[in-house]
Amino acid sequence: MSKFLECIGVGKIYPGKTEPVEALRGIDFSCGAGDFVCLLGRSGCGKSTLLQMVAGLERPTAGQIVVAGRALDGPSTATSIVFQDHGLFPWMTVQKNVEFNMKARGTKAAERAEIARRFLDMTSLSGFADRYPHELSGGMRQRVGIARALTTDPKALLMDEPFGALDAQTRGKLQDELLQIWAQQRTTVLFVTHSIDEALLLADRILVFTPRPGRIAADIKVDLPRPRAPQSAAFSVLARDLRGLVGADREID
Amino acid sequence: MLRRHILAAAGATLAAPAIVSRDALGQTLRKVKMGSAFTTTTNAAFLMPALLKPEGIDLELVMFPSLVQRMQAVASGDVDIGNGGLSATMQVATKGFPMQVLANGCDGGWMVLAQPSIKSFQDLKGKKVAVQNGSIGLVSLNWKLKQEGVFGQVDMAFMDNQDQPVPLMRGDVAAICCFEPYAALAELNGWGKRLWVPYDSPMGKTNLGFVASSAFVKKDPELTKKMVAAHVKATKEMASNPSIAIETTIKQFKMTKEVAELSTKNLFFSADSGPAFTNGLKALAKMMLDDKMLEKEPAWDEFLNLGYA
Amino acid sequence: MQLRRAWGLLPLALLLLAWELAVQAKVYPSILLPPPTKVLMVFVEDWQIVLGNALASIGRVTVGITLSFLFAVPLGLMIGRYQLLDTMTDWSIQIFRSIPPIALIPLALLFLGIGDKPAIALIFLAGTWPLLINTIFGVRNIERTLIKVARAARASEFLVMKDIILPAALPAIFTGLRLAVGGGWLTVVTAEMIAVKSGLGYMILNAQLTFRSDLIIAGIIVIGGIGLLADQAVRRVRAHVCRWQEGLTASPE
Repeated sequence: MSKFLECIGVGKIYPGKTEPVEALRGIDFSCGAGDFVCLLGRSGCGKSTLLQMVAGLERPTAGQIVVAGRALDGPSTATSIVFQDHGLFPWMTVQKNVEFNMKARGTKAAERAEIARRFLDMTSLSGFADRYPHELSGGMRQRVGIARALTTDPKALLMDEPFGALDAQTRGKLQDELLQIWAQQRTTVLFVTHSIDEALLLADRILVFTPRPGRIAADIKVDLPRPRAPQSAAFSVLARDLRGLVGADREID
Repeated sequence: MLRRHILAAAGATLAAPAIVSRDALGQTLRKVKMGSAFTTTTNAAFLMPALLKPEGIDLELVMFPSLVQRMQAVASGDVDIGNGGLSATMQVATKGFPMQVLANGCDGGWMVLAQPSIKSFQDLKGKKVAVQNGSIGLVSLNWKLKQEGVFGQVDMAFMDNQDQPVPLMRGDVAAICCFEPYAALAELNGWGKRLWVPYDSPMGKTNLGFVASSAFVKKDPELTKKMVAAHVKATKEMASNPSIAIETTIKQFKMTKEVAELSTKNLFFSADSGPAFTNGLKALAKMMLDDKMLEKEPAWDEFLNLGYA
Repeated sequence: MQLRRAWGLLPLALLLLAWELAVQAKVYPSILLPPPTKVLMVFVEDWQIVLGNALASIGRVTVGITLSFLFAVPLGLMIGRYQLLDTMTDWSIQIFRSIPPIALIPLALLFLGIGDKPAIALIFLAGTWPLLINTIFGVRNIERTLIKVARAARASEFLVMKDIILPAALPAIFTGLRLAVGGGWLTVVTAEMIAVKSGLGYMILNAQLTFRSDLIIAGIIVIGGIGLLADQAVRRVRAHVCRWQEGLTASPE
């Protein structure tokens, strides 16, 4: 498996209010291009922090992150990130929002419009190009966020609990759509979640995080056939194993 | 004599509006408020509380920032008696609020200074002159400009007296028609030379008077008599002893001794309310009518009540 | 204008009634409180004087507040964005904003002379502080995620300022503008004490000296009326420019 993304001895210590906080320690893993990897764990175990570091928004205090053969020194053109609170600019239309990442790259206006339209189609948002974010539902806003992330043709799509704020039904739809997009685009996906079922539904590989300090406790390969069948026995067995690894807290599903 | 001792003590207690406490003579004192304004011409007022104490009057001086505000207070019913600018008093009286002039207060107190390059009023054509709007200074200035044939060719810059020296220094205005002690300040700093000593107009040196609302006088002629008497005495004291005025100017206006002395030379404390005074007053009224600062002349019989002086 | 809005006239009508009654009962000397009819005659007979002076004042305030805007908004955007600038300027701002314009007249005379220049300078100062402070506030309150989106997309500083910081701060800037227009208008009477020969402030001061209380009150009424119109105008502009703002349409425009 070719190493597309590599974390070597990555650690993160925050100064903290009263004393330093060690958010992550000794993170070592790598994944190949096109893999769908979930970072799974309860809140506070550093999985979001790691994602932000892969996105170049934070720097590790120890170790190194290598993306597409280059050590990271800030945000990379090879990655795009999707946030849980969508991060759409309220004063821009959906179209302009989707075009933003390209604009930041210097892509010309006509080309931007064209590409944006393509990804709006892909995320079933064609009719909403001229709407403002406040006119859209939560699920649609996340679609816009995803479309925007895809416009720069990222090698890795980083997703920070993107569906956490949505109701179960919308979440289900978006999970399906995401899998379709992934099947089509074949980007690497790093997906942070605290939901075991979601991880099993989406990922080829699950990294289980435990807190204080954040560490990778387990690296599980998910061999279940796609499309995933949550009712199947194999699914339940894996889910039970994961529950044990993740910890005592009941997960919201 | 007892009175002379009191006057000597008064010289030492200057610069504070005197709220005199119950005196050792054991009389019950009657509280009276008297209005005045924060100008050099009203210095005599500070002597009055001490003069009135033996008369059984506890005098409270109420000071206003300007003579105009002082008159506005009169019209609203407070401090019915006291110092008043005579031009403002006439305006109030002719607008339905009967006032009476009881005595002269202080003559003079203003000066026209100009930049050294200005040699005559002709040189002021097309230039600016700073003057306080609505003041006696403005009335005298208008008259002079008409006399010199340059009225309408000189631009008025309306400003308060204390603001006038700086524009003169900067050259924003070519001349100022300014009241003491700011005129003396400008002169001593070399910012302006005397262009015109403004007392040769028909109104002469008429400036300040001791005035009261007609209602006040009618209500209590005895009190009025005492107040006017004290005013006249205080004014005479001021006239004979400039050091009191100089001291007050230094303390109240934070001026140097030189400025205080020069400005006091331009103040003519006089309670003389004879024909010179009344003629000056009537001339002032005519000049104000010309300038449209007055709508009609006051009813002189009602307006002038100089018998007490 | 909705009928409901007409209720706003009720306090004013009551005030008018109280005024008329006070005059009838001769509570105050007519030299100080003229009857409403006398004030009305000012608008009938002297309307040209009132209009001319109103236009002069409006002119000064417009120039002063425009200068405020051009100075305070860019400065505020930068102070809000760069922490170092904020640390450097905070104390100065707090000190100078507390100084009432009337206290600055002697300094204005010294530095700027007489006439329109110092008058406009005072109005400029009155308008600058609310605009500056509100702009800074607007920048500070930008949702963090939006900044992260921009960073992750490697947007240039210029693009961030133009497409994100400025539009995000616009609602707050408009609040500042409302306050600035109000403050500048409030200052116009003070400002016109410095040897100007026109304007509502000048008209009122002149009327005080000549005991023309009808002009004073007429001037006050016009000042209040223009203040109201100016405020309404700014609100409308804001409602249009910031129409993307969620919840804005909930408040009356």
